Amino acid sequence: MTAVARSTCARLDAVRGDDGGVNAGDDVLALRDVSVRFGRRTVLSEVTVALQRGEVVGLRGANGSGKTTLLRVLAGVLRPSSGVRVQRPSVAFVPAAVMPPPVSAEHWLVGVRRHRSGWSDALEQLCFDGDRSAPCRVLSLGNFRKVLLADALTSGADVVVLDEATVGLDDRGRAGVITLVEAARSAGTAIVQSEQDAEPIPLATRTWRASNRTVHETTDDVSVTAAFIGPRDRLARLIDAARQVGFVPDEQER
Amino acid sequence: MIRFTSLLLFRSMRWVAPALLAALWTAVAMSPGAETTVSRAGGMFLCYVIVGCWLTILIGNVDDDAHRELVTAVVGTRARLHVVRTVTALVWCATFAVVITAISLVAHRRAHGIAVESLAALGLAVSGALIGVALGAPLHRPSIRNQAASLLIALGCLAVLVQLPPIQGIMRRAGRDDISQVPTPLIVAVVVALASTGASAVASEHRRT
Repeated sequence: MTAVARSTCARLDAVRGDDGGVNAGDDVLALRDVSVRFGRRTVLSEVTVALQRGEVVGLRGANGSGKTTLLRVLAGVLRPSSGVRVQRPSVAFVPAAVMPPPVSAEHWLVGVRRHRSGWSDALEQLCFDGDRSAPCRVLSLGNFRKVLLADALTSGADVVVLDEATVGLDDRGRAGVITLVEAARSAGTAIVQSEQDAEPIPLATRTWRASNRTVHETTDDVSVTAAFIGPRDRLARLIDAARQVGFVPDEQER
Repeated sequence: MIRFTSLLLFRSMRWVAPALLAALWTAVAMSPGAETTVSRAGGMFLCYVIVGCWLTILIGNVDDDAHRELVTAVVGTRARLHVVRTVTALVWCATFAVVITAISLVAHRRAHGIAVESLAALGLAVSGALIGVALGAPLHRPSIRNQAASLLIALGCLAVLVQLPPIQGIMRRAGRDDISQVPTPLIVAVVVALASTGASAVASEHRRT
């Protein structure tokens, strides 16, 4: 493990240990007794969760456990059958699978969310190597995913909701996601990120697990262990990879 | 967001079919003859309704569900996105209607003063576009998920619409250069368009899919 990777891990540990410079404790978004039914099928039943400014929350669960439904309710794109979504913060949402639109990455980034900057640097951090002026349809799955993530994580929204954010990303892209998530978190954005159990969520300070139509907070399951211990080596490798391509400065530059 | 939605529509090339219909209809309706600007606007009225309805359905279905949700999160609510897309359709239909009316005013004989004739022809054109957009607003996703079904239902609605006495009356009077009743369809069209857009926006907000 390089010195940079070690120091970054230490920094992440420090982030987990305190509020990371952000005023924690302010609920930016909360769901109270939210249930979602599709026809006769109940997908979520009386779920109560809250998100605070500047925190990263992981979301785990088996296929069909209601992770995506919960994320859609949090993002405000799905109205619950009962219960309330308390606040109405600005939200950036990255669904798990989006069909690439016929416009170019540049047009998409400028068109969807106007009057903002930072997406160009974010694309570089994610090691986007596609043609920005070509239609999104001709980009690879991973590169299009990077466009969506660059948009969401530099949007300045109060809440960023990422559904399986790292699907299709290479290691350099995953390292970039960690960097951008950390930057957004430091700026006070609350982030909810769902991943498959095998996939680490390195910056998560809490983990929600969706099962039996409800969501509960976990501290001792494999996912949380993976988020804190398992990915340490993996994170180090990601950071090393990012450093090799010049997106993470080495110790001397710091 | 209106500009972005227009860009999505333009790059999707879905506008080609209604544009061809509009071009053909315009070519026939604007062919040389003795008709006046108002009577030609009456001839184009149905075209504006059809194109308005078609374009609204196309814009409503311009992207997949996931992209629609992503954009919904950007604008805030489903209802707001619905309104944005309806307004986008209206902007393009109204622009088409205004351009055709302007050409008609320059190229054709006028039975009344230019101000009166312009207002009457413009009123008819915008009424047609508004009615078309109002008809298309509830006929796309998320209310109707299948675009082919949307277009078939729209076709049925148009067939009924053209048989309605008020619509028949508008076209008949315009054909006779009678402009006395033009404000009535315009007011009715505005009310219907607002009600339709509002109702379909609320419906889309409450739909759980």
